[in-house]
Amino acid sequence: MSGGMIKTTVREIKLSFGRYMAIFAIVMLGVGFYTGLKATTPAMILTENDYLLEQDFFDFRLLSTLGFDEDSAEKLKEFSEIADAEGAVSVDALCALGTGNENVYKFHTVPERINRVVVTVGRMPEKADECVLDAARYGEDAIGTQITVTDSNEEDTLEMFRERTFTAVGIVRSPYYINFERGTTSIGEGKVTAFIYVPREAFDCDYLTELYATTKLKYNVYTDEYTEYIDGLQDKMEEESSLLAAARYNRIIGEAQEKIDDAQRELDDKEAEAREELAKAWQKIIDGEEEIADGERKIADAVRKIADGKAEIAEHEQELADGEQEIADGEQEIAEHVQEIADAEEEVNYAEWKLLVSEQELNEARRKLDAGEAELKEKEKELLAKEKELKAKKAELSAAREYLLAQIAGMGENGTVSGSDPMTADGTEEIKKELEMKLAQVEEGLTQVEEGLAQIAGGKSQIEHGKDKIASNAGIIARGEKDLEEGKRKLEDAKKELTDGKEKLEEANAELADGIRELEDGRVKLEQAKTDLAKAERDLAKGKADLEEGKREVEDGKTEYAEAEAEFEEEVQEAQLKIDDAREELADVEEPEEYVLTRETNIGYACYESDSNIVAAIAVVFPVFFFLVAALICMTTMNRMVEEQRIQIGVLKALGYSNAAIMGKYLFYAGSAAMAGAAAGCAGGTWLFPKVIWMGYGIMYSMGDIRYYFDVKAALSSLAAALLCSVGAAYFSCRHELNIAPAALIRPRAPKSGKRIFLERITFIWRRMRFLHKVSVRNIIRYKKRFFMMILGISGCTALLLTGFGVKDSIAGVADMQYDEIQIYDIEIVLSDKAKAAGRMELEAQTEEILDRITWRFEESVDLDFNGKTKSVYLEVPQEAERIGDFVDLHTTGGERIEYPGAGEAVLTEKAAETLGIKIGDQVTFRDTDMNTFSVTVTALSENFVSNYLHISAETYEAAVKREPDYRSAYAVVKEGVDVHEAAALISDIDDVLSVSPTDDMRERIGTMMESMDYIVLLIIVCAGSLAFIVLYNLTNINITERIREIATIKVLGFYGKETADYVFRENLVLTGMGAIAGLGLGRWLHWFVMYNIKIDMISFRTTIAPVSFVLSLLLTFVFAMFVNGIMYFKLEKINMAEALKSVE
Amino acid sequence: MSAFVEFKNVGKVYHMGEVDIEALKNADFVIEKGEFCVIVGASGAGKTTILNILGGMDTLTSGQVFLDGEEISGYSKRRMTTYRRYDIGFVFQFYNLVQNLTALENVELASQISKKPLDAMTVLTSVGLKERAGNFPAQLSGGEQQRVAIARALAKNPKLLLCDEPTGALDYNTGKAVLKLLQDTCRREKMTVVVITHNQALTAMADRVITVKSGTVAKMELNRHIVPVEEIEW
Repeated sequence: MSGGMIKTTVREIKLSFGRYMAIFAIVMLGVGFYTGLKATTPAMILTENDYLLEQDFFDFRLLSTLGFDEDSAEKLKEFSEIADAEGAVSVDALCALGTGNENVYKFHTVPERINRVVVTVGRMPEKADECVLDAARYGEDAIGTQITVTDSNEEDTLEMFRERTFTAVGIVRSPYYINFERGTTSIGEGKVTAFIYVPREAFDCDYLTELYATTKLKYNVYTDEYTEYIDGLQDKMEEESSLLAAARYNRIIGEAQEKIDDAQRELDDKEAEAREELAKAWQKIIDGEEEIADGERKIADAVRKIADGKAEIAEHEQELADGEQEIADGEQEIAEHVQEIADAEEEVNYAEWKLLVSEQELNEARRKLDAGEAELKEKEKELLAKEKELKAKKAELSAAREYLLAQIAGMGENGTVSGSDPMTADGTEEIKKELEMKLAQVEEGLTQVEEGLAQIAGGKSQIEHGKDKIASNAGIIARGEKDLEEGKRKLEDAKKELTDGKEKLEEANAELADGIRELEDGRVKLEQAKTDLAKAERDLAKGKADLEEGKREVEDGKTEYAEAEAEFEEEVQEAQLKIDDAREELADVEEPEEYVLTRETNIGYACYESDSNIVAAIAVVFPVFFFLVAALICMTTMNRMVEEQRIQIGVLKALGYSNAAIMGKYLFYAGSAAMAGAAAGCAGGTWLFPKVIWMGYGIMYSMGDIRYYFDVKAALSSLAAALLCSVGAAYFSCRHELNIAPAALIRPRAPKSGKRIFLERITFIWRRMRFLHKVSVRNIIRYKKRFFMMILGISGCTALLLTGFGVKDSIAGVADMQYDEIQIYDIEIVLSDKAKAAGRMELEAQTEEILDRITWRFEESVDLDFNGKTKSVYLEVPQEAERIGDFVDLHTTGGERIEYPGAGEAVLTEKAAETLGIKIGDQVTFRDTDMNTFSVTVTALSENFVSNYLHISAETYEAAVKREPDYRSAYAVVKEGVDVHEAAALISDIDDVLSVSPTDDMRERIGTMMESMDYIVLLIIVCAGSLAFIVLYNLTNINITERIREIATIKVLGFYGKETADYVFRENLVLTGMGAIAGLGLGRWLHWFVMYNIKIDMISFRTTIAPVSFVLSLLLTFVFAMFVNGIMYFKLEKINMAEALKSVE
Repeated sequence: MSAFVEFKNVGKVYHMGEVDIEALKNADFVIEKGEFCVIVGASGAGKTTILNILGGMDTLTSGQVFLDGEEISGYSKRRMTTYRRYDIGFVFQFYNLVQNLTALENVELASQISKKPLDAMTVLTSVGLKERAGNFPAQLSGGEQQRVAIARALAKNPKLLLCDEPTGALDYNTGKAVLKLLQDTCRREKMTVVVITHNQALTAMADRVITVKSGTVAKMELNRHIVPVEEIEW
């Protein structure tokens, strides 16, 4: 290129900088949009990939129903494909932050290697009672907050914690939670509010709840290589995990069995011991009772003895009295005998005297006396014999008396033995009396004997008398001294007798004294006996009291024993029950089920792919417009430029410049603009789009800053396309001009002829049109290229806007439609397993005040198999199918009501049907978690947006599973005027209520999730705006420059500014209108396409666009058009009227 | 009574960057109503500037311009447009017809906005183009186009008809015909016509000749021997 050419080229750019910039801008926009959108999804994926790699995100997560032993991680590491493994403990617990409400938090151990968290503020915990909080929920001001694990947690949960209060020392984000979802839980309101990381020491548990492992090879996320690699390892991992779980199982079972055995042994020992003790106690009681019986017997004996003693005493007293009497009698007798003896002495003395007197007589009367003496001697002999007899009798009687006495005494004893029966006692008394009578008789006999003796004594007196007579005879007879002598001998005998009598008396006296002494002794003894008896009575009373006491004690002992025994039995039973329970539990401890989970099960990871794909879906279509428009703009612009400069070209050609040299200028002009635009677009787009979209996704995902991804292929291809459009357009325009002879070129090109248009032939319309409108119409049709470009650009803009708004409508509408038209209940309540029918009734009773209606249902996640594809859906079984319509409105997309399916039938939600390709009438099989499979016929497809449901009736379920569904979930509608959240709070306080979820919360949650869409919509609007601006600006600019003379002329003719503008812009507006209307149609299609490509598993969208969005799109398009027109107005104003006077260049 | 058109000491300076170009200085002249006036001068003498100022397309730097007793030199931009709209008719060298409009429509384009327009068809008939009324400019010859342009200017029923080299792009005979038309119009309609040209020959047919030289009016004279257009040769 020659110096002149360079100069002219540079000057050209300077002069027509607007045009240059237009090419630059449209190329930049096109390329930027294309590369930007193209780069966004990869950038997002890259960001995630880097983030996950950096934080060592897990590849496998191992779970087991029994947890894992502490050494499992080390064992797992032995597997060759595992780079690292780490155990972790996690638990859901109700916590209060500061003085705030109780919420469910998920506690994790601070990971050392896998899933490392990133501290955004503060520091990591250093002590057991420190923690770090969820960055998605808490900011810097949360540092220092106290987090308390409240008492409302289950015992099992509380046992997991060593520390109960934690101080927040930092805020972190975790690769484990890249999106805002924190998962569900079975406690509290069923939803985890935030995560908390605490040191391992904060937990008091000797096992790991989960294991995380990373693999040796690090493939990029979501790539097929990664999936294949992980799939390949899955089996081996399952094997490993079941080994680990089995190890734990065996250990637990072993330990538990041992513990149970120990406990059983202990229980048995203790039981035996206790039983022995009890037996001892019982023996004591028995002994005690025996003792008491003994005591009673003894007391009875004692009573008897006392009675005997009393009787004896009485007897003795009688005896004593008798003895006294006897003594008295004896004394009397003695006294009598003394008298007698005195008498006898006197007699003796008298007789002696008489003897002396009658000694003479005696001598005399000796003979007489001898005779009398012989007689007397005989009589005396007789008397003596008699006396002897009497004495024998007396002895006999005495013996009889002794016997009788003994008899009586013996009888008293026998009477007592015979019993204390008074009747018997009476009998005894009788016998006794009889005996006493006999005794009396004997006594009498004795007396008689005494009397006999007395008679004998009388007889003796008679003898004495006879002697006296003899003596008197001797006196009278005085005959013989012999008699006297005899008398003297007799006297001597009498004297001797007297002496004997005296001796006897002495003896009797001694005897009496003995008797008296004996009596005294008896008395003393009696007194002693009495004293003894009194003592015995006292002892008896005491004994009785003691016995009573003893009895009471024994009774007490018995009660105590009964109590103790009952208690013991209970305790033993309880203990045994516990052991049995434990045993049963142990028996129930199923073989652990272990799960090998991949990243796909991490909500954040799984959602992220589909969410980032939304952008990819948009990236597929949108840039096409921009490119198309950019190409057209480039072409028109270059075309126009070359046309404008045809004279210059002609001159240059005439001057002898080669075609290539001339063309070079335009090629360079177009090429440089496009290159610069493409470069700027590439750079800007690659930076701006991910950044803006990331801002939107930041609401849902926390991963730090976006990594920019430069898509070389996209950049190069878009650059090539941009160059092709611009340089190509320049080339073709130039070639056309350069083929014309220079002479023709220098002449102004014949203006394009005006043409009558079709509309003019419809004269009745044409006539009615205002003149200037006719001009516009004709102009519009005149410039076909511009017409199509305008239509394309504007329709693209409107279509983009409509798509943007439509995407928002479709998404925003989802929650509303789901909860206003389909799931019309207010609250979902889930009860715990143990609630059953009673729990349901309890809940119904307690919520009567606040709930308008409630119905019970069973919900379960099942796998739906069809055509080899599987999808997880919720199985929904209502308890009362006829009432479910008040809570869930089943209808088709067309709004047609669907009857609740009957036996063997099912209603499936549309999204699931669409995904699996299920049609009405198809037989589908689904499989519950217990691997029960059953087939149903799909009779209708219902409209649904959130999650997927398979509705079947209870009969169908029961027929398949052979048991009644556990209706522990309910749908409820609150009464008019009751606040849903207050109602929810009240319900969650009821026992057995596991979770309460108001649909409003879900609505809100989806709302939040969809907020990120706002950014995308905003981005689309901005892009659409810039597209509209560039198209309109460019075309209007071309329009104006092309018609500058015309406009100048019109101005010279005296058109006011506004009129001139109208004259020019009316076309623009009409074209904008046409383009916009075409854009609405296009937009609907584009919207459909985008919605079709947005794949979020949980939510399906209705391809709907609100009327207001149509209006808004139109309005915005016009606003953009007006804005451009406004700018162009000044350009119009600046047009110098003198231009009109100029000749054609 | 003052003249119909009066330039009093008019000066015009263009600021081209740092250079001031004095396009017009102390220009004084008058044109009476109904006159056929030719302003003649070499290229760059300032005749176009005069036309621009007189036509209300440009402002002046100093002096005063009156038309029909009104001072137009002090007009605002909008007032200037109104002035152009109602009082001035323009005929350009290159006709400046709107290509997209038929001959009649081009005339109507002007009559549309006028307060007291003449009937477009009548005017077109009067310029002898009745038959070509429905043709687009591209379908007309140069002379015909210029006649359409004249008809367009006349249809507004202006006070003043300004023609900038009306024959510049036309061949000799056609040029003559156009000039004849202008002259006839002037005579018949009592229209004041100002023709700007570098062609000295045309002065012969003018009532008044104003010669411009180096941005100032060198000479203004009334032509006592008016020659009909047909007889003028150049």
